[in-house]
Amino acid sequence: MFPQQVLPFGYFFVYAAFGISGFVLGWVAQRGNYCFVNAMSSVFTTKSYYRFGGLLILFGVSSLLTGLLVVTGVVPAVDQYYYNYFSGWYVVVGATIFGFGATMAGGCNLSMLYRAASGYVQNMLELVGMMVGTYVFAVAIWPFQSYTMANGILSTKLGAYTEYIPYDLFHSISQVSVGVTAVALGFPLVALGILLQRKTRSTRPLAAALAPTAGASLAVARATSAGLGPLPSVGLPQLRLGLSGAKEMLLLRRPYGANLSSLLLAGALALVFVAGAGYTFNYLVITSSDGGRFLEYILMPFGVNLALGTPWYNDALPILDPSVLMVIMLIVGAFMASLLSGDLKLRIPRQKKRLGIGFSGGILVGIGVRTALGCNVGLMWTSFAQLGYDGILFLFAMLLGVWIAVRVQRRLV
Amino acid sequence: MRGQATAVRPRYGRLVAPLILALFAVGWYQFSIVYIQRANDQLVANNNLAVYVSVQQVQGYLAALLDATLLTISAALIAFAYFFVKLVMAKSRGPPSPAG
Repeated sequence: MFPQQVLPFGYFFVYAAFGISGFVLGWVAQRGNYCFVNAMSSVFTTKSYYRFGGLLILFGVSSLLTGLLVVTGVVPAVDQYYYNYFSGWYVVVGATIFGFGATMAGGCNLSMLYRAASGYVQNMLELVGMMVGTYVFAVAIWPFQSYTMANGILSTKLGAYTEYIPYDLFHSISQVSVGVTAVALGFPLVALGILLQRKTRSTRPLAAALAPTAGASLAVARATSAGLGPLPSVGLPQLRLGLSGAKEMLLLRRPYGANLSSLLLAGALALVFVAGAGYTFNYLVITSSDGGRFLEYILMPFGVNLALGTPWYNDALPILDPSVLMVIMLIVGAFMASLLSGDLKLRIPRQKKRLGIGFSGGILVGIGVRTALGCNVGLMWTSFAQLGYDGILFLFAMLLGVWIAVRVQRRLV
Repeated sequence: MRGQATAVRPRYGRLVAPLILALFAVGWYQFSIVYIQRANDQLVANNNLAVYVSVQQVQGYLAALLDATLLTISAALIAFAYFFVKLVMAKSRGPPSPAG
């Protein structure tokens, strides 16, 4: 069965929807200082679960939203599972490498982009490193990996409905089975997220939760407190948001809370889920493929077309897709948000070694995300919205990578 | 304090940033028209249809990108005008106080 178009407005509309979604992503992530790595590393460094709880809420709300759209018949089930990836050793290995590299470099695929757009030189170098890492993956790892995928060596061979939890549980893709799965997956995630946030609030005073170290790994947090590192100070929990608070947010004087950001980001995902159905990969993709694609683009003016002969570029990466416009508009959104809020500033770390760490961490990010077949957004978050199980594998493997990186950073500092 | 505008040093970077954004938008649009289309055509010429993108999709991209580019340039120019007025107003109030 092939994907079915929900909205018959053509590719202009699809690209426009992805562009709007990208802008929202960049704007909200910048204003909320939303970072997956930040959320995970704070669990190990400051024992703060606030932002990690926000992540779980994001995953839960996303699966509930997409599930609701399928259950109500707005989007056919095939459009939810069609782009479920293969699953195998590479998801675990790649996510671990990614978690390690991103923590060392100071940003996940989402935060790398909006921080680079806000003037963080370390994250700009991480982006460049990611392009290099993607090329390394393409020539050194992809031929072997695609062989294991084609032959089912520690890998599934189909993807799509075979990794669709409603099908795996009920051998059915009926609206009832999708609804039950979405509720069974989404509600516990939201509940766990809220529970973790409450636990953090109850075990520490608000002042501690508002400290700049709340989301940062140890080394990065120290650098941040000195105004040097890649992770800017974070206004974390917004316990009560009155009218004046909302006004302050609209006027860009106050950052968005983690939960508000999660809800807005889930809305951006729902937009492309409907608009892209039947046309393309109808979920959010950040730089996991575009890291490679932008290297391809950079080389084009020099007469080099990687898509003609380089592995992966010539068989797995379409030369263009809606994620390109989404990433461009994400950069524009983050740039505008940081400019209008007064956050825009070229920030060069005082410790020059952090530039090298950013670049080499970026290389690991590139290798990790391509090996895993996606990043924290394009695979992990997306998989929860797809009602697949790759996201769960990715989550635990990424946590492992982040944990290792935090241990390494403790030794380095 | 918020009311002491004279203590705020003018930030010229805020004037330059919107112009950089507008240039980025124009540059990316021009790049897309020239290079992405050409690279896509090269794929057809070399019979590599695995990563080739249909003409409708490229046209949809360029049409949406054109609108996005125009919107971005408009927003950048508005931001430039806003910060320019703020800068002129700050300058007209005199230099920053020594305490600032």
